[in-house]
Amino acid sequence: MLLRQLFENYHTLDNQKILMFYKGAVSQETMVDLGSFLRSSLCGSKKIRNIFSVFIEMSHNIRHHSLERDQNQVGVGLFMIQQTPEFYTLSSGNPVPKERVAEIREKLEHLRSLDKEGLRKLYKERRRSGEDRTTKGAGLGLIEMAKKSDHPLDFEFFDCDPQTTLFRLTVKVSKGE
Amino acid sequence: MPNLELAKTIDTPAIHFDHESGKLGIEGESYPENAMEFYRPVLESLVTFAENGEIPLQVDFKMLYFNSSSSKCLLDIFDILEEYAASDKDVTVNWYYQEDDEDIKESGEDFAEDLNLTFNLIAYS
Repeated sequence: MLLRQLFENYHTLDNQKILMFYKGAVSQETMVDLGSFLRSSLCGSKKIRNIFSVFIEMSHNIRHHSLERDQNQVGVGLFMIQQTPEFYTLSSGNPVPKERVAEIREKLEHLRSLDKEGLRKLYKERRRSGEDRTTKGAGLGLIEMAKKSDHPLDFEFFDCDPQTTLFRLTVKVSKGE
Repeated sequence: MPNLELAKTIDTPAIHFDHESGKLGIEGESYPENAMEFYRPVLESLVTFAENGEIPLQVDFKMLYFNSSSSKCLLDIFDILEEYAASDKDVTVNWYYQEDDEDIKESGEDFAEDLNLTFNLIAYS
């Protein structure tokens, strides 16, 4: 049964043009290795700088904010990059405490309402105010991703249990001309 | 004077700071595990230089990529530079970017905009 499922997953990954799928702890070493892999497999793309940047910020968020931790207290989550004719679609997923959902949603809705110039301004303000220092930089990372995205940030919350919600974030980077 | 010499790694830039000549160079990529910890020696070295130094300071940035946490640390560096410049010292910042790299160019512009420093944006191929 399990093997059959593996084959199904194989076909799903294939059909959906998924270039990379990772689920596990995102330590600094893992992030560096996956990042190098992304760079080498997308080295012809004009948008590799944007893709790499989004990948690093997503990894950082998983490492610091995922509720699931490995035995070394490193955050666990999933990361996926998918190719469509026009876009590279990068997604991350990790559990977060339900009480944080409203705050995350509010931040993301605000970012969705801003244009590139607004994002650039907000990034500078947040960097200057330093209000995120205690939370290891979350906030600035989301703005950075919104700056690199060619489409408003897309996100979703799935309830796991009364305390936990799965947070999915998707960033679309256009392939360019 | 305590000079600073850090070799480049895959996720941290090379850093050279020569207090005698007043030249600081930061070059490479920056997405360390803990950016504040990585940049602490640079900030400390700059503070020491500023406390004792009378000479002009030239800072060359040649960044290829830096993440958002590193960006905050670069701002901390600029704050010290600005303070040094405010005490009537000569400070020059050279911000190098690859000519096709709009992101690094733009981030240089964003730093320059709010700083009261001689800030040169320099393209290279």
